[in-house]
Amino acid sequence: MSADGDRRARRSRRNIAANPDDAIPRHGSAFVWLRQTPGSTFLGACRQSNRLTLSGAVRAELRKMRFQRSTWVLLLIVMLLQPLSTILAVWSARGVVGLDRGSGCLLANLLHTPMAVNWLAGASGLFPGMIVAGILGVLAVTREFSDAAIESTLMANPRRGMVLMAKGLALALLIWLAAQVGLLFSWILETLLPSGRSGPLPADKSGLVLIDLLGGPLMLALFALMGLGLGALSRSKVGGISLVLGLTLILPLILGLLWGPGAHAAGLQILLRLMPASLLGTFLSGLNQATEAGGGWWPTWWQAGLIMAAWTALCCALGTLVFRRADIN
Amino acid sequence: MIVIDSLTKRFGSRKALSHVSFTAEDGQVTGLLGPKGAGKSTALRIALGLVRPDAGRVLFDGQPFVRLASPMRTAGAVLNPHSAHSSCRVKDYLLALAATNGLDRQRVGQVLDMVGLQSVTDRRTGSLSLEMGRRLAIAAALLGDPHNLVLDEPLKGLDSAGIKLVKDLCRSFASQGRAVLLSSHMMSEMARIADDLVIIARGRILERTTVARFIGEHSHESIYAVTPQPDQLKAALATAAGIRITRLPPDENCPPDAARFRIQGAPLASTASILAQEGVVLYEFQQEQISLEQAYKDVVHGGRGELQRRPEARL
Repeated sequence: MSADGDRRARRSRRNIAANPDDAIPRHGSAFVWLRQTPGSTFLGACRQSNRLTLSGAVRAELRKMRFQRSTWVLLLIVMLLQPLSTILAVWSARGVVGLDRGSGCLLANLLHTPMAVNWLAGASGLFPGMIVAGILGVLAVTREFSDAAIESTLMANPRRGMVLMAKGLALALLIWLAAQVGLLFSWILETLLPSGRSGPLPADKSGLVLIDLLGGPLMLALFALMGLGLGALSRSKVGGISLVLGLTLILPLILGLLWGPGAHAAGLQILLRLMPASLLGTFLSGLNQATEAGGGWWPTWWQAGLIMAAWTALCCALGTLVFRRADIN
Repeated sequence: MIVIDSLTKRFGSRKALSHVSFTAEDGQVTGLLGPKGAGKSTALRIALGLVRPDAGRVLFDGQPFVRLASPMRTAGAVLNPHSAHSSCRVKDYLLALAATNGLDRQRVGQVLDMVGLQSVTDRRTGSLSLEMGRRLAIAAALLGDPHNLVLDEPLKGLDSAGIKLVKDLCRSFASQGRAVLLSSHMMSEMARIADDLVIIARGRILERTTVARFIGEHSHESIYAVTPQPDQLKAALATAAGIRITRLPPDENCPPDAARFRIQGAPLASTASILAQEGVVLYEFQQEQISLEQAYKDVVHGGRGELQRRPEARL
């Protein structure tokens, strides 16, 4: 029996007026209870399930994010970082060429710069973008804790796992779109602006454009989800952003400082290569074989992507675990 | 129906709730009454899945809140007037909540009309006053046309129109066979709205009763007397049946030779006549009536409170 059926049956058992117009308050007030009206359109009827659904939760999160100014500012930054880095790369190349116009020596070198490096320079905007995406992920969950909005969110949807998943899906979608648009602009600029550089991609790097163009935004979405997990773990803006910065910037820095001639150098080196920022670099470079990069073990581009996904899964799992058990006081 | 079954919760070393059990029946407004820090809000937060209990459970129409397929259709709640997303517009905030539970968009306009916020639909929720914020929280609670309503201190911060709105809302819900559970620390609020009463203090249920029964049990009158002749007063009233005389502790506001008494079960006029006939000197003689607020405080504090005296009965 449906919920409405249950309710009707319960009312009839208690001999209580089912008609809301009959339900006049005892104290003679003019308060009239309004019942729900059916959806007037097909789309409305489809959306009006009267049940908790993941798609509904995602729609709700998208609507909430739409009105957060910080969301738009950070998405705009993510979107503009790629074209800006491309313009900077092109201008710097043209500047250097201009400086040595007399000898033409550097110009010649630049003309022979591999296209893979050019393209990587264009996608370099994803590096600061990863921090911005991580911060946006933290804010997606922690700003609700700062203004007690989490209460209304959880009273509407008490399934915390679903809430976090909906936030993650909405966030990943927005970040992916922003990064994708930014990279497309970047790619267009790369092809339109005369940078003074040319040269085909090497045969083993033929897929680099696709890896960067399609995979880059996905990597940024993973960073955003990682931020979401860390935000859920800390439930504070400062704590979450500190964790994101710690994982992407400070921890690699500390590992770099520790990396010396000691006995653990090789292990530290591998650990450094497994850090999120390093994984993004490896992924965007389209690394196929360890020998390309130098000594020691290096993950290939797809391994880097998978390890980054594992980082994200770990952060999200920890965040979900804490978020599901946390008391909202 | 909301069933709260043996809830226990501890925050660090402080025990917030200890085996709290009661039921908010369908068709009744149940008031959870207790002083600040009694555990009312904790109990409601546990009910709504915001706080995890150490033991016990809460069922809404037979199911825990976190397992409901359509939470907003089963239970609407008002806990915090500032729980709206501050950067959202009023209408969009409610639309987002409606989307979560797959509710009809038209419902948003209806509930805004009901709470009197139709003129501020495009304002940011963060710019609303406390009064408007509470009305918005009520609108959010009503969005799913729920069968159960949970209100935490619902009248706090409301003007007279808002108080009437909440009162009418509760009565309307109850008259439709729905369950209403509301908390307050003010007995006067409860007396106006609730049918059933659950008195809680220090995390324990002290009394489960109805408002009518509570008023009946605590509306007795007594006489307060101050005399320098305590023995004569006792002797004068010793022969009257059904009278209970209680000597009260000394009060610094009374003369040093005076004793204070509470006389229960005696009519004012005849008691005064007897004492006058016996020549008992009285410094003070007045009728006093226990107020509901005082009766509630007596229950909470174990009867240590003072009674409210009626000035008009002073002799």
